[in-house]
Amino acid sequence: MSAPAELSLAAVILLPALVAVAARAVRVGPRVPAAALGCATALAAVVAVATVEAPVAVADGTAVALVVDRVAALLVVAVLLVGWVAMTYLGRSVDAPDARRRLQGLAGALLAGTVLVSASAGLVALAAGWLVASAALVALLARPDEVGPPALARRRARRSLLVGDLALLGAVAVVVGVTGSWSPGSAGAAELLAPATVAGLPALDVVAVLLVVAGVARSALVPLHRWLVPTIAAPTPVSVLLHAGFISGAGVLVLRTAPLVTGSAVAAHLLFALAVATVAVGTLARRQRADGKGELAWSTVAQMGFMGVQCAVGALGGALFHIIGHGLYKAARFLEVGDAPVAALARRRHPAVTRPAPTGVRLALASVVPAVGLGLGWAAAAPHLRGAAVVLVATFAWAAGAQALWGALARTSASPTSWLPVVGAGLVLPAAYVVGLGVVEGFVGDDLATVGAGVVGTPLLVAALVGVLAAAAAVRWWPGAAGEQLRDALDAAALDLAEDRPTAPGPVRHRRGAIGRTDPIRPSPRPVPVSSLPTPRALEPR
Amino acid sequence: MSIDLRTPPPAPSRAVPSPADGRPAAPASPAAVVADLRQAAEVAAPLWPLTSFVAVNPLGGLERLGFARATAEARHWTRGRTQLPLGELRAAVAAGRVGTADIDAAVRLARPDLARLAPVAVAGRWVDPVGIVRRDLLVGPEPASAPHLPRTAGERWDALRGSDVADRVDAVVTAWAARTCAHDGDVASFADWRRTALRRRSLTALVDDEARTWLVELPVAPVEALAGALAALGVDGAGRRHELRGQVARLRGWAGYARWCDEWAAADDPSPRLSLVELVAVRAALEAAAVATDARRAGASPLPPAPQGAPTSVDQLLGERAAAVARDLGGDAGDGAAVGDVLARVGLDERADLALTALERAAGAHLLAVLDGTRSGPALPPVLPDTLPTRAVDPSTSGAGRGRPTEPLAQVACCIDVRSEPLRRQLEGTGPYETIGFAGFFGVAVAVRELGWPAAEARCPVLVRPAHELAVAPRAGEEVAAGRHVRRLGRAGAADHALEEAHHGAASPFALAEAAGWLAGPRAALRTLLPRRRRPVAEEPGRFRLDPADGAGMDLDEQVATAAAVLSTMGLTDGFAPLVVLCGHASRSRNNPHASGLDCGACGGASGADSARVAAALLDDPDVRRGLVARGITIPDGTWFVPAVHDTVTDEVQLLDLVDVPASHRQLLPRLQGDLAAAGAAVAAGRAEGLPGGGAVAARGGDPAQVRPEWGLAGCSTIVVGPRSLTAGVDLGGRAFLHSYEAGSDPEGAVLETILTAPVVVAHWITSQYLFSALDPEALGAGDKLLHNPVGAIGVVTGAAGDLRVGLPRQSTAIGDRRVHEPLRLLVVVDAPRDRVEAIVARNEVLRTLLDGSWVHLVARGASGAWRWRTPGGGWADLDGIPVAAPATGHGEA
Repeated sequence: MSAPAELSLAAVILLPALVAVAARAVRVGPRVPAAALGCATALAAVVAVATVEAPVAVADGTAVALVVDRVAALLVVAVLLVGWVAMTYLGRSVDAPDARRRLQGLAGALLAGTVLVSASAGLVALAAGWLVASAALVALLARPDEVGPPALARRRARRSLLVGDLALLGAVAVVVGVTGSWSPGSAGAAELLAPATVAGLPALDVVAVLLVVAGVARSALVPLHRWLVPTIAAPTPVSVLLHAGFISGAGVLVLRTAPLVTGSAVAAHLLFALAVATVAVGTLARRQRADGKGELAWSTVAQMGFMGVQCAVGALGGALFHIIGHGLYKAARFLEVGDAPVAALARRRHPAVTRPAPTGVRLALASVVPAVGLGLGWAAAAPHLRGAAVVLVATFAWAAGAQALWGALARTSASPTSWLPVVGAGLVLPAAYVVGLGVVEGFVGDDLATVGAGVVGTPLLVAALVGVLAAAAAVRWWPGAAGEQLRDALDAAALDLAEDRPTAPGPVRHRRGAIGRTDPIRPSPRPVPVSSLPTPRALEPR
Repeated sequence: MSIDLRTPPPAPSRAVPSPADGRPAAPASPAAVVADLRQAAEVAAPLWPLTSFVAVNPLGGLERLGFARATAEARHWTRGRTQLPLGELRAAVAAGRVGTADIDAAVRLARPDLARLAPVAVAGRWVDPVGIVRRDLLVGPEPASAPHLPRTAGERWDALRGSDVADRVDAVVTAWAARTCAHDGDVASFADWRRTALRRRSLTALVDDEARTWLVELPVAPVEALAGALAALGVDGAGRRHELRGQVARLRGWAGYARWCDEWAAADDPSPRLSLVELVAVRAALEAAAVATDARRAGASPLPPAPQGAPTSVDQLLGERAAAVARDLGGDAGDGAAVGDVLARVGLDERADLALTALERAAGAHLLAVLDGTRSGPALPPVLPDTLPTRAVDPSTSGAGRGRPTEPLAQVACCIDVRSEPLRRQLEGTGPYETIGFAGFFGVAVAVRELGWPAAEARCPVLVRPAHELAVAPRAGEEVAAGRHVRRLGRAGAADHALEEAHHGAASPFALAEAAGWLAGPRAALRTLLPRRRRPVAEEPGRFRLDPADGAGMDLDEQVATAAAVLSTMGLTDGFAPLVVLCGHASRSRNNPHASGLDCGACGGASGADSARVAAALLDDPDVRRGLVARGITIPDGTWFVPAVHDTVTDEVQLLDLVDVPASHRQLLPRLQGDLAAAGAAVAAGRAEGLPGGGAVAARGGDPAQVRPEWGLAGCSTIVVGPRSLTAGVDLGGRAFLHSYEAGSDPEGAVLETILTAPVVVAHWITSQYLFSALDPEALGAGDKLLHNPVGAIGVVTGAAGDLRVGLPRQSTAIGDRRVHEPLRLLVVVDAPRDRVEAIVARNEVLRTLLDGSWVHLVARGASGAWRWRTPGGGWADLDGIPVAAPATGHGEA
C-alpha cells in the first residue's frame, strides 16, 4: 500500500464526481470532462498496478471505505476507459452547449456511481453508488425537448430500476440491522447473517434474494428485461456508456457480494433460472431485429443472461472476464454502428469462392479444430479451471470457435494455401481465448471472492444446457404439421418480443381532438371540426 | 421508369365486403389503381440506399406544379416546413443584406405581370403595385400555422375519434419493412406480410377476428389487395388518388425506398427489394382492418365517406395584409380595398416564393457584381444574418479576374462539386496552373470491377446507365502480386464472414463478445481518443491498371468517340499543358451512415478515382490520340494525363497511376505534388475555422465520435457555367459548382445543352436536398445524427423504430440552432448568349419545368454582354427586373 496509490484512488472517484458537479455549475468546455476522465483512467491504471502488491484502501473502517483489490481495479479501469470514450464522444458530437453540459454532467455522475459500486468496501457505499448511477441513467434517457419514444424509454427504465434500487436498499437495511455495522463487508456479513432470521425467513436467503432482484433489474434479466431496448432512443454515446459499464451491474454486484449471493442456494438458483430464461429470450429476439442498435440491445440482454449463469454457477473469474470483455465489445460495436452501409458494401466486394470444401470436411474441421485449440490453451494456461467453469468454457468457446470457423471455411477455396491460415486461426484463436482467460484469472488470483455453498452445481448446469439444446433441436426438427405450427408460433412470439415497440402495446388509445397529433414537431393548437375539412379534390394538383 | 408489377393485373373477381361501413363497395380496376398509385407516388421522392446515397429534390415529383404550389402541396403531405418565414427576409433587410431594390427587382423578375399593373391610389398618391407587394413582404402579417388536415382514411378516423390507429398501423408496417429488407437479396411482399402478420399476437390489439378474416380473404396479388382495401376504406373515384397519396405520404421513407427499387435500381443491384404497390397494399389493408376493428370495438358509427364540398382555398389573411400595407403607406381602411386588389394576385404561397426570390436576387446581384469586377471581397457572403460560415474568408483573393498563365505547368480538371472551388483557387494562386471544372465522372459512363470483386459497380451519375463494365487487371509482371492481393481480400472476407457468423449465431456470441472485446474495445477507444486520418484510396503502388479496354470494355472507335466528347465538353481541345491532371474526389469517414453522400455524386455516390483513372488511360493511349487527330483534336506528345483523387476530408490530392508517367514527365511531378500539397493545406486551414470542435481537419475522417467529418456540399447555392477567367481570383466560399464552358467554341450549343440538362439538373437536385433539409431538419431532413439507427444498409431510423429518414442529417446543415446552410434555390450563371440558352430551354422540357416553375434561377449574357435574368414563361429582364426585348431572330437584342 502506498500513498500515491491511495491518492490516485481518491481521485479516481472524485474526478467523475467533479465532472458531474462542475459540468453544469461551471461552464466548462467540451474537452474538460473528457480530459478529467482521461486523468481518472490513467490514475485507475496506477491503482491497478499498485494492487498487485496489496489492495489499495482509502478511509478504511468507515462507511465510505474504498478498497480496491485486483478485481475491482480491472473493473474500474474498464469502466473509466469506456467512460472516457463516451465523454469524448459527447463533447465532440452534441452541439448545443447546455445539452452537452447536461449530458456530460450526468455521464460523470453515472461513472462516479459505477466506480463507487466496484470500489466500495461496504454495502452502504455500494448502495449509494448504485442509486446515483440509476438516477443518472434515468436522467440521461430524458430528453427535455422530445416526447414519445425517449419518454417511454425513461419511464420503463425508471420503473424497472426502481424495483432493483428498492431491493438493494432492503438488502442493505437487513444487513445493517442484523450486523449492527454501517460498514459491513460481504464476507463478514455472510457469517453474521447465516444464523439470523428476518420475519421467520433465513436472513441470508432474504438478503441474497434481494441482491439478486437488484441485479436482475439492473442487468435487464427476465422478467425486467423490457427496459433496455427502448433506451436506444437515446444518443449513441449514451448507449456506449450504458452498454459498457452500467448494464453489467448484476455481475459486479455478485463479484462484490459473492459470499452473500452464492451463500444462498435459493438466490443462486433463482438467478440461474432467470439468467437461462434471459439467454433464451435475448437470443430469440435479437435474431428478429434488422436495425443495428436494436440488434445490439437485444444481444446485450442475452449476454447479461450468460453473465448471470456464470455468476450463479460460481464461475467468477469467467464472469469478470465477460463483464469487461463484453463491455468493451459493445462499446466498440456502438461506436461503429454507423458503419453498417460501409460494411455491407465491403461484404459485396469479397471475392467469390471458387471451390469451397465439401460440407462434411468443413463440418469435421469446424468441430474438431477449435476443440483441439481449447485443449491446448487449457493445458498451457488455465489448468485451475474446475467444474462449471470448464463446462461453460468448453461449451461456449467451442461454439464460438466452431461457428466462426464454419463461416470462414464457407468463404475459403479448398486449396492448401487458402486453408492453412484459416485452420491455423481456428486453432490459435480458441487457445488464445483460454490463455487470455488464464492471464486475467492469474492476475486477479486470490482476490476473487470465494463462492458460497449455495452455487448451482455442475450437474444442474449440464442438465440445463442439454435441456436447452434438446428444446432447440426439437423446435428446429420436429416433423409434420405440428412442428410447422410450433415453429410458426415461436417465430411469431419472437417477433412480438423483438418488436415490442413503443407504439405497439395495449389497445388503441383514444384522445379528444387530436388532429394535429400526427405532426411530431408542431402539434396543432386546436381541434378542427370534421365538417370544415376540405375535400380531397381541393388538395389535388390541378 | 414505371411501377413494376410482378403479376399482371387480372380483372377483379368479386366485390370485397367492406369492414369499414358495410357498404358493398366495388374495388377499382387494377389498372386504375396502378395509374393512381403512380401519380400518388409523387409525394415521396426516391430514396437511394445508403450504400450509394444520392441527393434528389425531395419535392421532385411535384416539380410540374411550380415552386410555390409544390411547397404548399408538400407542406400538407409531408407535414414539414417548406417555406422560409417572412421574418427571415425581414431580418436580412434589417441587417442590410437585402435592400428594397432587391425586393422590387425580385417581384418584377418572378412576377412580370405585377410590374405591368397600373399604379394604385393610396392615401392620395400613386403607388406602384410592386411597392405594394414589397410592403406586404416587409410588414404584412404572417399566416399562423394551420392545423393539419387528414391525409388518409385512417387519419380521418383518428380525427373523428381522437384515436391513434394510423400511427399504430405505421408502427406495424415500418417494423415489417425493416425486418424484411434487412439483407441483400431479400424481397418484401404483401403475401409475405400477411403470412407472418396474421400469426402475431400483437396484431390482435389492432385487428379483431372479423377484420382478420377479411384480411385472409383479400386477394394475394398486391394490386387487387390494394383495390380491395381502398374499397373497404370507402374510397372510390376521385378520392382514390388522394387516399393513395396519403398512404404514400405517411411512409415517405419506405415509399421512397420502394420507388428507388421500382424505378432506379439496376437489375443486378443486390439491395433488398420492396415494390411500392406491395408496401401501400400492406399499409392500406391494415389500416382498413384497423379502422373497421376500432369502429366495431367502440360501437361507433363507421367511417363516413370523404367529404365532398367546395374547395376552401380563400386567403383568410388578405384583408389583414391589405390593411397592414395601407397603414404602412399612411392610408386608412378605405385604401385597403385598392391594395387588396393587388395583393389578391399574390397568394400566401406566392408571397413566400417572392421572399425567397428577394434573398436570391440579392445574393445573385452581389455575385454578378463581383464577377464583373465592380465589387470586391467574397462573392457569396451569407445573405441571411446569423448564418455560420463553413470556412474562413480567403484573404488572398483580389476579387478581380486573373488571366490564364501563359505556359501552365499543368491543367487540373476537377469535379464541378462545390468543394473543388477552394482547391482550384488556391492551386492557381500557388503556381502556373490552369484549372477546369467538369462532372467528376469525366464523361466515362462505366462500371468498374476491382481486382477480386465478384461484380462491377457503377461509377457514373444515376441519370446515366454504365455502358461498359471494366475490370482492373494486374500490370505486366505483377500477376503474383495480384494473386496475393486477391488472396488477402479473400482472407479478409473469410474473417469478416466468420465474425458475422459467430456474432449472429445462437450459442456463439457469448464467448465471441468476451474474447473479441479485449481487442475491439481498446481499438475503438484509440480511434476515438487519438483519431487518425483515413485514406479514401488504397495505396496500391501502381500494380494494377484500369484500362478502358479491359473487361467488357470499349473498342477503339468507342474510345476515340468518348475521348473526343470528354475533351470538347471540358473545353480542352488545344493549348494542352505538359501535364493534365484529371482529379476526382472521394471522402472516407467512420461511424457515418451517410458517408457515401460525401463521395462523388457524379460517380453514383462513390469515389471518383476510378473514373479519373479510366479517362486518363483513355487520353494517354497512343491509338486513341491518333484517332483524335482525325477528329481535329491533336494532343501533343509532350502532354500526359495523370489521374488523381481529392480527399475532401483532408484536402490532400493523391496522384494515381504514377508508374505510367513517361520518364520525360517525371521531373515535373515533384513540383506539382508540392504545389497540390500546399494548396490543399491552405484549403484545409480555411475549412478548419468553419468546423466546430477545432483540431486537425485530417483526423476527423477516422474519428467515430465525429458527426461532421466535413461539411460536404453545405452552402451550395450557385452553378457557374463559363470560362474560368470569369471566376478566377474570386472567393466563392466553396458555395459554387463550377463547370467550364467556352461559348465561343460551341456555336451550335450542343455542349451547353449537355451541361444544362445534366450537371445543372444534378446541381439543382443537390441544392434542393440541402434547401429542404435546412428548412425543416425533422420532416424533410433526417434529424439528429446521434439518434440514427441503421436499418440494414439501406437507411436509418431515429431511435428504436419508425419510418426511414429522408434527406440530410441535421448536423449537415446546422450547428445546434445555428444555420450553416442557407436555404436558397440554385442560381445558374451561364456565360453564353441568352438566345442560345433560350433555344436550348425551349427544346428541353426538363429545363422548362425547372425555370418556368421557379425551381432554379438562370442568368445569361445579353447582346451587350450585360447579365440578363430569365423570367418564368421565357421572358428576359435585366437584374432590376426591367424586361428586355425578345431577340427576334435568335440573335441580337436591345
